[in-house]
Amino acid sequence: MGSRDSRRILGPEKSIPYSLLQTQEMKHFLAEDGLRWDGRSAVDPRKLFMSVGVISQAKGSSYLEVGNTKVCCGVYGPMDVQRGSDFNMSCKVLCEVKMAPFSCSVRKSPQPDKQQREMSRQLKDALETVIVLDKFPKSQIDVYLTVIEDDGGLLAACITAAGLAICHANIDVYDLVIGASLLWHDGILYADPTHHEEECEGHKIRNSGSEGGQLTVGIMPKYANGQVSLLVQGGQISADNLCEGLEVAVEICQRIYTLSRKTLIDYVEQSLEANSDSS
Amino acid sequence: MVDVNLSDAEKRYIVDGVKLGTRVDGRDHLDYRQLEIETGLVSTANGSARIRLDRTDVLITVKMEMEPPLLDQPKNGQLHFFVNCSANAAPEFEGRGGEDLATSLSSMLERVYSSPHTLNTAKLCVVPGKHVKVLYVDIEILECGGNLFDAVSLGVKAALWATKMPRIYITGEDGGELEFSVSDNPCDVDRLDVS
Repeated sequence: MGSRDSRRILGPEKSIPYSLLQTQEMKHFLAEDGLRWDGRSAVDPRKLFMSVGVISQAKGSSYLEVGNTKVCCGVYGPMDVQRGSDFNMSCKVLCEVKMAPFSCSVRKSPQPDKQQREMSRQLKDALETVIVLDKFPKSQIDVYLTVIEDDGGLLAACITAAGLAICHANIDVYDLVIGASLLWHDGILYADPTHHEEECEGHKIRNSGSEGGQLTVGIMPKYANGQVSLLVQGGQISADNLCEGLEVAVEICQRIYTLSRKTLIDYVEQSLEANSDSS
Repeated sequence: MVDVNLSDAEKRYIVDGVKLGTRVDGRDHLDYRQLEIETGLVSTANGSARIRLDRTDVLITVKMEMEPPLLDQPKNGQLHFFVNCSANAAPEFEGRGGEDLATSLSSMLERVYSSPHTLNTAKLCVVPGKHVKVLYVDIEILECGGNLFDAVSLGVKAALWATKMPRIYITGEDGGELEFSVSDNPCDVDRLDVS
């Protein structure tokens, strides 16, 4: 299973996860009453919890829970770039997404695999559009994300968490970037899919090739007038469906945006109270 | 993609020209540059193509191998994409500089070819659960003159179309292991359907 990590004690080479031998039962996406298996309608997003200031050592940090997906983000910077050869008149953004080995039902190797590297690169692209890079010449900003549990909508959760943490770190941005993820299955649009729904869809696309796909967008809702900073689409979706999906995504992002703002404002008020209490 | 330091006047010239609907080389905003595709260049590979889009030059080769299938897809073959940005293409690709671009190109191609509509991997199966054909697509960026994504995806399609895989016949069974014979006849080949 790829290159062996010589620094850690790993399991036997030919081990396979037992879940592959189990028969996968595909739950129906929509039951008869029009609700999904967890009680949501097709376009309802999951419950959200966010907080900032969770990592005391980091300049900015945030913790986000979307349903069961849990992501923690730490932002360090702007710091001086180590090597003189990397001097650039705009800031360098370094982004790393690390998934904990216990985050998925199949154990992930501690070494970053292709999916994690791709997510890191996509997140870096999204953040480079959001941060005002020209304000920090010859500097770099490090964004580290740890995924504690993956239950669908992972890239969207990472985008939202990173946006929150960067704002908490007092780094100049054009707007708070929020992520949303969507799924098309049998012609119906589902907002904020869970891991099981994403897997069923992926399985179905590979085997039967019918129309269906996934979409993750990062949107800057307010000050940038709904500009899209990242769009990742997989599968086969017609252009009309894509436009409809984008509108739903913008609506979801607006709702999450109000919550993010409130979280940041509450944090500032709390720290002001704490300062005035201690002084 | 050599970094050319443009003066402010040149930048204004380009931006104002685009606002009027003309680009620096005289094209309209939706016009393509001249495109050339050649196939069948590399005799050691099952399929190959070279695509030239003005200054962009990409060479793609396809090689077929037989391997056991993935556990969760026992009846499907596989496609693997490897992109190599050679240092000839641009000075910043020297060493590991081109790795970011290479991973983004290969992940884009994997996403595109994951659907059975693009390429039906069920046709690459030889013995379900035991042996499938795996296609290794190697992409070499020889010169980078812009619009790499278009050039690479066109070139991969051309190379896959030109791929000739020798037909494999199952001749017998010897103690549980199947024996294969690969046809030597250059005309007895399987082609891929990339429509």
